[in-house]
Amino acid sequence: MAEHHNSEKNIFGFWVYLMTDLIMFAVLFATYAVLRNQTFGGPGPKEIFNLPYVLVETLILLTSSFTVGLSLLAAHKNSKTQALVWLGVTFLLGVAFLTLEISEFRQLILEGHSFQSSAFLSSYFALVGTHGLHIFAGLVWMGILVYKILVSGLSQGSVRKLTLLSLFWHFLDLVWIFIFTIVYLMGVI
Amino acid sequence: MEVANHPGVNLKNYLIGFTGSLALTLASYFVVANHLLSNPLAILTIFSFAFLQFSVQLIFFLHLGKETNPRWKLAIFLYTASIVLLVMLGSLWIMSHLSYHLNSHQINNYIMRDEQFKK
Repeated sequence: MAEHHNSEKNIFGFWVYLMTDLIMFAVLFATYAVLRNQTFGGPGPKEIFNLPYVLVETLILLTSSFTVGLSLLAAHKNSKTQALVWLGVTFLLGVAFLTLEISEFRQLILEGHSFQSSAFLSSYFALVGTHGLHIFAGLVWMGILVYKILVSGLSQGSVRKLTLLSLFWHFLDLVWIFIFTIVYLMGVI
Repeated sequence: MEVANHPGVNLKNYLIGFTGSLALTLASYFVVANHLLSNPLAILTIFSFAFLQFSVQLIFFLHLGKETNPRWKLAIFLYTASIVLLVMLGSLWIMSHLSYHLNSHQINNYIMRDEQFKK
């Protein structure tokens, strides 16, 4: 019972962290919304975003948000193999997402549209880059957790960490909905 | 299977959340990619879809609202949401008011002068 109480407190504390992170993203969104037309004579969102490419990124991230849930579900059913398989799938999808995002950034910079070119691009790289950094941190966390579960099985501690990780991962997909809508879809309209 | 300590963690919820989010993402994409709607209506539509998907994921992925009383998670979420709205709408309002008095051409000229750019 004491352990249950502790784990609930843990989840609540993590939830409070996620909410503060949400405020940080809100500030970056506000900055982007204000600066998105300040292209300083350079290209705007319409000219540089590739919508089908971003849709693929979005679907990959959404699927990974689903598979991390399946991993947590398997952990609750005490099935170590299933939990590891779904966590591995989530990890690979996360790596695929991050790879696509980095090559998108690389392409933009190679075409001369770096974060130094205009206020619009600075705010774009700041917002989407911060989300990408979170994804990277999540992947590192996931890697450590996979290792821990492999070595010491589904202990109460690992299941608790998996619960927090799944919240973090769902949260990142939540933020991405608005990046997809405000940055990419609205940029192309 | 439901786990007593984790309300909302079951396969049905994840499936609803996933298919719902998938449908909403594709719907907004097709509205924009095929130019199905004209400008103000298109923006309104994709924003409604985004908020709908936000709610779907909050409920079915993050299990918000499934906790027992007192609902601290929900309380903190609502408080954060109000701050987020204040920051977003406040910034847009102030800055659009500012642009009304100062057009972007003027701003560019000021920046060029201050940073000693030459055109």
